[in-house]
Amino acid sequence: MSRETKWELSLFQANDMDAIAGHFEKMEAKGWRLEAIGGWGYRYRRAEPGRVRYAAACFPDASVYDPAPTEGQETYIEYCRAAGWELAAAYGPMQYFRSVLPDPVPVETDEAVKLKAVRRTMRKTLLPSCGLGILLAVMYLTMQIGSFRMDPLEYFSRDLYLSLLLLLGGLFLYCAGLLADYLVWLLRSRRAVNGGGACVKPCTRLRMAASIGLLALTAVCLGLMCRDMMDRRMGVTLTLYLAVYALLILTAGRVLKWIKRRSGSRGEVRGKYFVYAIAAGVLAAVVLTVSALALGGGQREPAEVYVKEYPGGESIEWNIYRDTLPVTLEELGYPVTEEDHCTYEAEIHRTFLASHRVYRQRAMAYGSELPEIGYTVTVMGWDWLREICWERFLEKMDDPDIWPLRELDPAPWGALEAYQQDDLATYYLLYPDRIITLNLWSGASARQIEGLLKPLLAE
Amino acid sequence: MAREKFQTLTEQMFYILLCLQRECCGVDVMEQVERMTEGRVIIGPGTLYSLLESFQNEGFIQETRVEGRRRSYQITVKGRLRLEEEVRRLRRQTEDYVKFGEGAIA
Repeated sequence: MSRETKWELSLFQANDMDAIAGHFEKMEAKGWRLEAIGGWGYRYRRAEPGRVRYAAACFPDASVYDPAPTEGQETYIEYCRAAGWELAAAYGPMQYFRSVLPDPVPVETDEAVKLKAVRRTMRKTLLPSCGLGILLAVMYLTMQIGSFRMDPLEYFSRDLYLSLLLLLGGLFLYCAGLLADYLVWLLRSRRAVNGGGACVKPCTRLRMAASIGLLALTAVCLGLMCRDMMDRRMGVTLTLYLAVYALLILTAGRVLKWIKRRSGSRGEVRGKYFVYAIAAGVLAAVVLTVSALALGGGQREPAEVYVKEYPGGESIEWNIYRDTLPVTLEELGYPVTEEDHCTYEAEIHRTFLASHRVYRQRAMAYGSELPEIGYTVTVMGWDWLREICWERFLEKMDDPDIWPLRELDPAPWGALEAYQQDDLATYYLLYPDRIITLNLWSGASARQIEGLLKPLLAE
Repeated sequence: MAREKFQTLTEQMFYILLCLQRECCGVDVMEQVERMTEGRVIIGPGTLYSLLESFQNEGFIQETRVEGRRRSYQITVKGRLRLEEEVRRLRRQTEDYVKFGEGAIA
């Protein structure tokens, strides 16, 4: 059984009037009649295929917050009806008309009037949305810079950070591009109209391609974010996040309609909807934060839980992991026994830009004489990226008052640069393709350090 | 320098004001103008609405009656003066053409 209605994503703008009308005419010829328009797209209903004329027009005095058509809008629609145009659908200032006449009088016959209507409509629709998009992108990009500064070695190896960076960069470029495209169109159209001509043709196809590109980028980035969160064993938290935000987006239109039915003026609708948006946003954030904390995401199941009983009935739990490490205390000649309850932990992140591996082996505290070792290996294919990360990493680690960095001769390490954190057994080493950090116990011999480094350089 | 609003009237503006010398409903203006100009000047409904609104804001016309969705308008003194000024401007243009042109108008 064929379906009776279908939805289509809206990728047009107010200045694409001719392209929109042409598109609806094609859909009508295919047997799909425009029925309604929402914030996201168009709804069509199956109809007898036919040749019907469509017109898209701007009525800037209308708003999506109007509980009902204003007097002026009704008069405008009445004029259009007298000229043979029936209102097919409307969303805010955008009005879409249908005519069965073979050659109806165009809705706009004065290009200057048409340009003014488009300009006022764009000022109410495109400019605030692009402004908000740019503001959000800049705000979150600044936060991303903060994340990079916090952990420069890990940053480029995490799908989550990288996809956020790509998505926000894409959003910024898209919004800035839309604004630039519109401003160029406005200036060219104004010049043409002042010279007695018509508004110029907008770059509809290019803009639609950019919109589809942004949607594809969003899908890819969401996929990468999901992978990152699944890797961190946060599948339930992720599902909850996606569900809550999908619910908010999908119900936004219905909530607006509900508010409109119960309000008397545009101001009232706008005020109530604004309060709803803030309340829903805050509530969603609270619910998600509390749920994330309650679900305890990020903790993976240990291979074994050792419970240490103390006199007096107290006990502590010690999680033991048995991940594969490139080099262990045993391989470095330390006698590791079962009584040490050693845990072997490895965490690996990888993107197309970098891989970051964190390894740690430690025995249960107070019960063992074994030292603790920890080391990281960050591999980056691009020199410039590695240099940026290395510089920022040294900047972050250097604390001249407490633990100043001391430059070492890199030659014995076979490295390009080598640093030691004060007198601690903590070393930072730069190699042609990787950055290695070592957190060792005091008194590790040169032979042991060599034994540790060898597999890390070979990895 | 920004051009003064309605410094010159377009054909559509001119005929709307001309039409509203007598009280007329907005919807009927489109039809009347088309008839007056024998189809030479056609005013779209969107353009008509915007121009009537601008004329009203400028004080060139005034709303005289509202019957349901039908709104009637009539030209004001200010509007009539503006229309006459436009006629003088057009007449001067024609005279200049006759005087300095290639003698196209015999």
